[in-house]
Amino acid sequence: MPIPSHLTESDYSKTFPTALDEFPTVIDEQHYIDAWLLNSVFDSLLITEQYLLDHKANIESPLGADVIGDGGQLEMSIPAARYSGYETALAWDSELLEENIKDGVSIFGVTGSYVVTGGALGVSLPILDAGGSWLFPSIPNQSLTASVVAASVPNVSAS
Amino acid sequence: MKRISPKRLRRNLPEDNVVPTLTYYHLQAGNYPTAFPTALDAAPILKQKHTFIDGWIFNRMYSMMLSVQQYVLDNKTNIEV
Repeated sequence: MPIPSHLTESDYSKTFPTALDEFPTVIDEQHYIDAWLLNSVFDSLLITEQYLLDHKANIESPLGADVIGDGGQLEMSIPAARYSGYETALAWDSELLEENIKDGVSIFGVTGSYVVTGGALGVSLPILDAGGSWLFPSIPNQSLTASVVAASVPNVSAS
Repeated sequence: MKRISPKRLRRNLPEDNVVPTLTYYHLQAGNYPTAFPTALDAAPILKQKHTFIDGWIFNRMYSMMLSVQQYVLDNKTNIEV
């Protein structure tokens, strides 16, 4: 029968939670069951417990879900939770419609169809030429003569 | 439990209610309460050639390990996200 030997505690390093701890392989009738063998297990258990306690808030926090804001809300609060990285946050506005956006302009993926028209006549905005006539680009061969009564209130009459 | 003084040991005098194994003594499980996962467990510290390696020492190691594993399992869905 071989003479048992003592394993040496310093030969086995403790590195958790950076890496795994090292433990000896104890062999019947070859090694003494020394006190440090048991203390080493308790040490590792306590370090593991402490690590879990230190991160308890993270571990036990609820899983986060997709977030949808209120209508017209530009910014929204993201609830405290653990997110996988695949959740989304959505801001929306019921006014974000094709007919509310200028034709050819795209906002957040919605392409506008609104065509700008001028006033009750349904024409583009008139241009006052050097001769004092109002020109309406959308009505060919037609113009109005204006006599300016006040700088900001023109008196317009048809010619 | 009463310990034998070194002087008495040298004279090898018998005495009632005395630990017969020199300076060895038993640790008591009740002195080491468990609290995980609320807080850290209290773990015994064994001393070479002083503390008996009693059955409860092993049982405590097993129960601590199971508590850690149970806590991990209880929160497995969070941990494995």
